Amino acid sequence: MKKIFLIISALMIGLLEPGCKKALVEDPKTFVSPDAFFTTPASYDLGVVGIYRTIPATLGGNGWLTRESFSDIIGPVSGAYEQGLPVWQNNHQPFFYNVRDQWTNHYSIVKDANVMIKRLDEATVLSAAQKKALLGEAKFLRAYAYFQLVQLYGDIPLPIAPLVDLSNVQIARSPQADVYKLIIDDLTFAETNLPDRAAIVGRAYKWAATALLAKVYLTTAGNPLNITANYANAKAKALAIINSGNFPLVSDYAKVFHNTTYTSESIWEQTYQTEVGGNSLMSNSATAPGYVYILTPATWFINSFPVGDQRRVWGIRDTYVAPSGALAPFFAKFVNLAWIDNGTITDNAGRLDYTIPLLRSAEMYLIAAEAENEQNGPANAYQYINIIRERARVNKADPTNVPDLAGLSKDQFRDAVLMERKWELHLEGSTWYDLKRTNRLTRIQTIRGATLTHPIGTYNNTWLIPDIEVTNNNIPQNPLYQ
Amino acid sequence: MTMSWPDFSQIVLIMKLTAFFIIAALIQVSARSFGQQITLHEKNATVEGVLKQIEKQSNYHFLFKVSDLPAGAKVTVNIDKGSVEQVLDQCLANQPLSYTIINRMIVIRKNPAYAVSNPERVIQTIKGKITDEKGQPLPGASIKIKGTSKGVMTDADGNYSLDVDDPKAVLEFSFIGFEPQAVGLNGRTEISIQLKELPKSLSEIVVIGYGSVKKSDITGSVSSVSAEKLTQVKGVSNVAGGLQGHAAGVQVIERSGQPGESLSIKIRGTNSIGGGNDALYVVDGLPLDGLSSQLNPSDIESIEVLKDASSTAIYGSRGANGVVIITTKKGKEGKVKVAYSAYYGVQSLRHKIDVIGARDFANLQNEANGNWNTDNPGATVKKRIWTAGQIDSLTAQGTDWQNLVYQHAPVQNHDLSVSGGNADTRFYTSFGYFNQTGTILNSGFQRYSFRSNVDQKINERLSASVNLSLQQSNYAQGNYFNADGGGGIPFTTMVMPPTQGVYDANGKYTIFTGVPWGQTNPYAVSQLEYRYNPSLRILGNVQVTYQIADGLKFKSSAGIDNNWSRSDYYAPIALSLYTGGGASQSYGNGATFVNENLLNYTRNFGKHSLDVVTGFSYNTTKSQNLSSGTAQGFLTDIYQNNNINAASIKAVVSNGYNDNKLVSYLGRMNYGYAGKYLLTLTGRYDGSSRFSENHKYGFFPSGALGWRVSEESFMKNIRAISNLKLRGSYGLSGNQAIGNYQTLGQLSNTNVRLNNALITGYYLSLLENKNLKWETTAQFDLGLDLGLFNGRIEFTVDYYDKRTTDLLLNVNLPTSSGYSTVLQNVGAVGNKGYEFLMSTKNLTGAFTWNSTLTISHNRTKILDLGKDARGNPVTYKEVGSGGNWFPMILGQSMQQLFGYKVLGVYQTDAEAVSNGEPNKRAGDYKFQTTPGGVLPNDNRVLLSRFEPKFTFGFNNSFAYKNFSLSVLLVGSYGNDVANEFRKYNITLNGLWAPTQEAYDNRWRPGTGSNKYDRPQAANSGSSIRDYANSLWLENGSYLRVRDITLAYDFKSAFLKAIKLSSLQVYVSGQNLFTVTQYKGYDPEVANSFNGWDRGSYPSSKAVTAGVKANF
Repeated sequence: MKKIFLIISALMIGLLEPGCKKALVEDPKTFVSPDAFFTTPASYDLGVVGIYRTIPATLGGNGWLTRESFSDIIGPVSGAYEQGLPVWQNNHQPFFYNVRDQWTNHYSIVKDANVMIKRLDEATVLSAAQKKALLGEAKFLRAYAYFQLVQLYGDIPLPIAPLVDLSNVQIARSPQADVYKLIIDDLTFAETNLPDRAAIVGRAYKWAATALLAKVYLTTAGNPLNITANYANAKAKALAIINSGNFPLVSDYAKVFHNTTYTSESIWEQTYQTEVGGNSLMSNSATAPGYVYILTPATWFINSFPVGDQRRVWGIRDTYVAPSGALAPFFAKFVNLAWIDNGTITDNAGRLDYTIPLLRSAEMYLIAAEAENEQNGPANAYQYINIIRERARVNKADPTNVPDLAGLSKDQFRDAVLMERKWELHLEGSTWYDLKRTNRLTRIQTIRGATLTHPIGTYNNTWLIPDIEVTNNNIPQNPLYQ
Repeated sequence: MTMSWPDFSQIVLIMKLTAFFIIAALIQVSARSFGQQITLHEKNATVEGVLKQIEKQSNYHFLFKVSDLPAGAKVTVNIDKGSVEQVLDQCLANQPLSYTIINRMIVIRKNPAYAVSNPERVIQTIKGKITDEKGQPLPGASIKIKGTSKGVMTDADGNYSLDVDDPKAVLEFSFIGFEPQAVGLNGRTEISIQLKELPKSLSEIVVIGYGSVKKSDITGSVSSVSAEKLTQVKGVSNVAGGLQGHAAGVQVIERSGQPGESLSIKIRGTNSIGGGNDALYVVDGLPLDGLSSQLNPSDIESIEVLKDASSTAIYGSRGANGVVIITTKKGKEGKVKVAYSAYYGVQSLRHKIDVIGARDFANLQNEANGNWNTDNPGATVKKRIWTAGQIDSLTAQGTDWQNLVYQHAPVQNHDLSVSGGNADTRFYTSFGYFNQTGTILNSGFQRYSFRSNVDQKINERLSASVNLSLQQSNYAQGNYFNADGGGGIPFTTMVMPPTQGVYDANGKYTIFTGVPWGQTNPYAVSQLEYRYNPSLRILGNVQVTYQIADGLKFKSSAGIDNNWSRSDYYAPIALSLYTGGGASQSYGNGATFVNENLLNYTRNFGKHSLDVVTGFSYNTTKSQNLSSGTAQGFLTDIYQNNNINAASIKAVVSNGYNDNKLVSYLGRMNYGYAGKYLLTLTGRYDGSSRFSENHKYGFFPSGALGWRVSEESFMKNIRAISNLKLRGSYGLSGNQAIGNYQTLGQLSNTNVRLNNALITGYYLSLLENKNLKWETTAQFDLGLDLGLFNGRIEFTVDYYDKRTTDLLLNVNLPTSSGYSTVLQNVGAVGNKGYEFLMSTKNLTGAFTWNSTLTISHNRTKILDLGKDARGNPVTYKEVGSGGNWFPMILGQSMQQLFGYKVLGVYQTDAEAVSNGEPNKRAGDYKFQTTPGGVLPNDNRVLLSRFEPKFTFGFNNSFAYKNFSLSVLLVGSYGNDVANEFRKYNITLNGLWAPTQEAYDNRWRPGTGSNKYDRPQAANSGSSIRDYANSLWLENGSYLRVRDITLAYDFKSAFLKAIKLSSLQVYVSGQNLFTVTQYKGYDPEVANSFNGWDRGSYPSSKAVTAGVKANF
């Protein structure tokens, strides 16, 4: 008996020992190792689809604080939105959620794209055409993310390869010119290699790359790079879209919005699950009780619209009476009025399923108009801007509604097209970028200097780099807000 | 010639007699041939006298012990020419003596052990009484025949009766708390013993990891909490809750009043930033990673909390945060005992928040809107203004949301146990029912628990035991975790305007519109939202012990911990939480299997004592879960969550799988010399699947020394000191509490929103991490145990110094890499502290008063957070849910409130300008605008101290005649609480109901106020919500009467009449009094860490009454 027990215990210890080494090897079942995964063409496709995962996060309230709230068209923001008021008051801090989110989310897109670009380069199971198309899509998304980053933060780290280990995790800031070069290279590659149509709604395709190139060229033509030669490129790309005939304008401005999928003028949009939603712009723009607004129309902006402008009549509600009483003015672009009328409020706002346009052909007309004016003066530019103005008429038959522009000087036209962009494209994420690239951030000082903690200065051309990045990447901070 | 033996030592006697009887047996056959005629007439003679006469008349000689002969016994013999046998038969007829004739030798012995026919195997009944030194009977004392398993226990009067078949038998007398005695029969049939009481605590057996030791021999730092103390406070569902105030160095925070909620317990501070800080629980030898309310505290015999490295190193990689060893009750030899205990109580909200009434609120809205209109000339006028008539039509109070949501809630508990056993089999079996209704409507916790513990002796060497317990728990959760919205009941209840009713004009539930995520009013949420989580937990453990040789034992055990749980959720259509209602259901199972094999060797030689244990342990855990996801859009509430597929918006199903393994080799040696010098060496070699390939194994050694100074000869004369021991230990223990699969490169699937649908995509979620290893805590402990006046006063003091290195820390990466953090072994945390325990018998006699005081002090200090990219030490780090409000700051304790200091309220616009806040004006909060010194160019300062200067528990028990009274005080001193509700409760924007105090002290032109700002519709209080600030902080010190119990024990006469062996009735109160300056619901609060009040379920006070009966 004694011996038996000793033998058993010896065996248990002895037998398990060699087995233990094996026993301690992890065998996960809910994820795969990258090498095991990328073995079929479909797997590469799914990897490229994965890059899109972060885009909705960049379109939340904190994204709109930087890209819209801190601009001249926005009226009082609610003090109930955490850190909303200090941003609007130009009292920005490097630990604020909005700077961190914008930085981190866009670099997340860059990382996912870089991982796939490397994998695709090394892929052996793909045809050359498949490989190029998927590479084009990954590069398109990388360019999109870098385009946001470079506009927000100026010189930025420019990783173009995935992280292998932590030895090369710190990357210095690259000059904006280099960033734009990469963006243009990526988009050009994408434009060349992407298919004419997206496999499914929401994925990139050739025309999305073209349209984004138009925007990038227009931006690089302005502050701070001022490569004025790019006006011509911007116009060429915008016209390519317009002339393709693929993206006719929707006849009624109101019909451009409150949709759950693409319209005829959509080039690239973020769609949401029908009824489940995820578009947070209603939470951030409705002024009914229960909504915490950071995007309300400034009084001057409400009053700035031409007579008979659907973008004012439909787009801005300043006399809306909800069951709870009269509401402060609000932008209607992303507000489900039925919800306000029903008194269904609160968290449902985040369940809005309206698409958010990222690129639509109306903007291409305005880019063409602006670029043409910069290049050659207004003569040939009216056609593009007036198409947009005509579409905005409440009464299409009445030419006094949003009358056609004519007889403007180059400078007047420039002011007109920039104003047109505000009327047309507000709350679509370009308002602050437009002020920056046209060197007009001081308008914020002019319009609402009394609300500002610090006067507007050149430092406003860049947002603060998140504190975490500065310390962990050993890069210099942008000029502080003071 | 009479030969009477001198009083030789027993051993010699036995040896001689044994030799003698062997010879005797061989030659007995011829004995009777020496027959001689004897005539004897003696009346009332002594036995000795008769024997002398026989010697005179014959050739026989007698052999006997004088002491064996009954002193003073008189015998009568009348024989004419009889044989010697006849004479002896008559002489010894009524005497307890027998004789044996061997040749010419007659041996007289006590009857009947030395009967002629079978001298070795005659059964003799030994009787006696066991008393203490005062002569009081000791019922339940055990009497065992040495070297056998045979034994009995004394009855209620201390009497025993035991059949012994071996005249050489030695009886062992023992009773818990008394010094055992061994007594040889020496022919006696009656042995009564007085046992000597030991200084109480020293004789206690303390359970330690993989064994147990006498308290006197312990070298480590271990807190023991008895069953009695553990169940002292009623209405506590969680085992950890019972520890509060009883164990020094153990900080127990009841983080919420939700019945059945898990607790936050910290043993000697906080070691880890990212690797988890939960103690390891070991139930009857079965290690468990977590223990909630799924164990019936009434089944517990004792809890030992292992604190220092010497004690915890035997648990190696899981010991760093301390080990809580739970031993459940076992059956005792003796009569079957049936015990029943029960209590019933009523709980209520401890304290209501004083928020303003409807009229004040209407006035506030008017004032706030008026001020907004003044501040925004030209903007659309805020119209929500009350007319004087409307205000008059309101009741002063309006809707009291707290009264609507909180209720008086019953709590009841019933425990029935049957236990008993004999020498071979012992059993304990119990059934428990616990039902606690929450003070928030429709929340509560129920537990049905079953336990069966059986110990079986199979043969002299082999024994087995089985512990099996089942717990069915039903947990109905109130919505409180949605801190400041999402229907969070405590939050909404406090801030929802009193001017709103429960229903609107259309009969629909009103909605809290103060925040976009505010949702339906709290009354509706508490009534309708359904969160129900039943679970079944099975703990089973089988142990086989085999005695290989003297002192050498082999023990093998196999155990499982299996937990099945379900979560039901339904938000009915009438709630605004989902459009058309929302429903989900999920199932989970976690299963742990543990196999342990131990060899134990115990031996004493001379002054040396040795106890060695060595073993091997294998532990594997698997968990799986399946969740329906939340579906929404139902036509009817009838389905609840039973027909999720009927939803118009389908749910996204998810499931998961996790596993991990731990392989360990362990060993410990306890060596003692002369009971004075004690040495413990411990080591464990652990392998975990969680770490990278080359770092899977870690070794955790420790050593401890003890010196029982009081055993030294020079101390013997100091009678006041009954015990004095110095202890010191040093060692390592580890922490592996990170997620599984953290070292592998991970490609994860994700839901991508394209084409109005969720489409599956993949992305690289984790980089391969080849260097991840254990987090290690080195701990030094110095302790002193002192007993005075024969244990009447006992002190234990410990000082410890811990240093945790190679922290499993999420190191921040530049997020430009696409990753925000990576888990690495970086940084160090120190914990230093003192623990003090004093138990005293203040009064003895008719009126007794005993008390125990525990005081704990701990200081956690972050010593190292790694280096940043510039090679400078990281001085500031945000971790987890604390974010930038509660960062880790080098040189400070863990999460502290970090933000702006509010200096008061600006009285003039100019004051704001001169203080550097030009867009503020009179009535706005004044912030400190000079750098705070923690971060460059940053005005934020370190604001809080969440770590108490000390915490204490003071337990008193009084007894007089049949009455007994116990009072448990607990408290904490010198700590802050961040009351996040203050963000809303002192905001005067007309959206949220503020406290009366904030309203009364608001800033107004002319009257001013330096406390709270000027009401304004949009902006009042916004600056104190945008930034963490000093206004959130409150003093969190408190002194609480945790429990007070008055009990009455019925007298035995009454008990006999109703056939009970004992009966006690009691009334008690929990949390009846709390002295604190804290204005929130309760200063004892924790969110993700202690001291962060984020809308916790408020704690309650209770009055209970109960009964304890033994049949």
